[in-house]
Amino acid sequence: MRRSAPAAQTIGPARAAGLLALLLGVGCAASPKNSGSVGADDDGGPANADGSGDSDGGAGDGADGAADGVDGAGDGTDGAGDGTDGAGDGADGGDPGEGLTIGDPISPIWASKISALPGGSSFFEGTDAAMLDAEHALVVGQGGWLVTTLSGPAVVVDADERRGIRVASRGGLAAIATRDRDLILLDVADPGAPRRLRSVSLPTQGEDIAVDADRILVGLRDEGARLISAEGDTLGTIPVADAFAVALQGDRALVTDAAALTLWDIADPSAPIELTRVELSAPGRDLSWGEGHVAVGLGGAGLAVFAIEGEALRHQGDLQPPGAIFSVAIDGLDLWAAGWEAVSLIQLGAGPPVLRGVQRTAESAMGLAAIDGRAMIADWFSLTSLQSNPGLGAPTLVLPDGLVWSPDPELRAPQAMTARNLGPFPLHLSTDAPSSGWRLTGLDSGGDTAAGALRLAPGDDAVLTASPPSGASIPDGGVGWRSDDPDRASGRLSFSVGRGGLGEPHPEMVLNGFQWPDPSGVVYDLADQRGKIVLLVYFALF
Amino acid sequence: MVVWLVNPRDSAEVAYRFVDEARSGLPVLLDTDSRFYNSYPRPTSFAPFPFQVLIDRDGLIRGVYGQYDAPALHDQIDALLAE
Repeated sequence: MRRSAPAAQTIGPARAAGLLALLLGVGCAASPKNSGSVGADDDGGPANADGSGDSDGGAGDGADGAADGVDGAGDGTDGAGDGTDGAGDGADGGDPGEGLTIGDPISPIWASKISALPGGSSFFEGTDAAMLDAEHALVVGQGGWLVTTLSGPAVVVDADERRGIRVASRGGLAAIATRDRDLILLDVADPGAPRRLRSVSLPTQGEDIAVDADRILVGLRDEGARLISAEGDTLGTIPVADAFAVALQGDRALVTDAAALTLWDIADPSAPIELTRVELSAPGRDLSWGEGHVAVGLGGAGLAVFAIEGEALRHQGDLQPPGAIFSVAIDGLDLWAAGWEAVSLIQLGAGPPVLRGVQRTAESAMGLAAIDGRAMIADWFSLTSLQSNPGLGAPTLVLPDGLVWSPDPELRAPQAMTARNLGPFPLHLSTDAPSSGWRLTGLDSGGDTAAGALRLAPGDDAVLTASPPSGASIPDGGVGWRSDDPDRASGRLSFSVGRGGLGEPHPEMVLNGFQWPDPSGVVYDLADQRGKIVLLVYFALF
Repeated sequence: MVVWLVNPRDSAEVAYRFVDEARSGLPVLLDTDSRFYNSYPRPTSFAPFPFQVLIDRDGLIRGVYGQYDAPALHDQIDALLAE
């Protein structure tokens, strides 16, 4: 087994040479793509015409990390003892990465792929998952629901029952909430042969479900959180306005609303008693409760972790993994979080939660479930199971994209951003002499550091400033950086042309539509709006 | 200034019945097949939604903005209104 070089405070010559090779690759690939977005991806993967190739871009890094990280997986002390080992490997591994989808090998420094398979239907759009036992997961999506094995891959059952959005299961009972305001109850005592028990009509779409001891709790927004028996009878309602995420254990229930997380005593379901209430920084979108911890997915605000102590909730900390967190699953002291663009694994304990690893996804990782160190992830178009490697972790860089360059020099301004280390090990961030003309400052003690380096302790963050080049032409690429995050060993901050910039005519746009509350169709023609400023807001049902 | 909501994913029925934004009363356009949604230059790492496209009085795209770009969008709107 190849051992890694000892950790270094700064990037040494050997590692730098490997990094340089990677960066040269970046330079070659980072040609302007189109007039709108000329940013390169994490490691210079093929530039997509629409500039949305981030997941492709992560491919090389992820695969490098995977190839080298086998060391860490085979010998726990290697990776566990010093996270920067993995970093050096990730940078100088040299194995060319293939396109990474969530189904491809990932960095086993923190997790390894078990299996991947396409969604059951051509239009599956997985949105949530629940574990039925240690081997079977029930996954729901727009295209139906299915039962799959984790170590398979094998789809055991594929039901063409559309428009599932949330699912939960425990003790042989599973419940699916659909966008058609139904609650479908299944007997899953035999996971290989689930049996439909009944369907219950809900007053509104169930936003989240929990199952425990033959009872189902459903978050129904303005209708509160409703407790339903396995027979489909309403047992009671927890009177929370805008009830969204729910969790259930015995006679205790957790519910989120727009501003808070509340713990309830539901020993008498017809008269729930509020035990405690804690404020949240954003509306709670998903809840998981296990091992004395409660995790709350807060969408774009990340996630919050609480310790549940008797009738009290003690805030342990917040975390902002990449993406927007709409699904969380506690498995022992592992917390898995799905956030559109990435799946994160977080370590729970007595202190604040610590991010152990991030896996970027090909599509949108919408929902997940976990058991015994394994997770099933419902991606938009595929299903993937991951295995957590206990005790291992990696430094994890979070660096925003989204710099803006304007053709108008008057509108060009230095842009501040925050680099954060969410992992359990120190992280080094550095930049090369910028060929593109961008300058990244703040990497050492305040100086303009063409080749500076920054050390971030776990949990630290640092403010960096990117200064746009002064030339008249669109820069050839963004700001190059390197780190010892094995999943993001090198990359460039992309930028878009904005603020007085894109300048192309919007394509002719004639679309059908409607205007609430009138459901009848209206034809909208953008050409009719000439002479007015128009803001198009793209949105969809989550 | 005109604000249009554009839905590139859901059916008209879903957009009407289930999407909160539709209830703002703003016009909702259905971008079937995501034809326009996929046509814009976008920086990497955008969350899929929401994102905004700003078009000036001459019909030119003046900016594409993601979830965290609200200040830049506001600035650009101010600049366009002042033109």
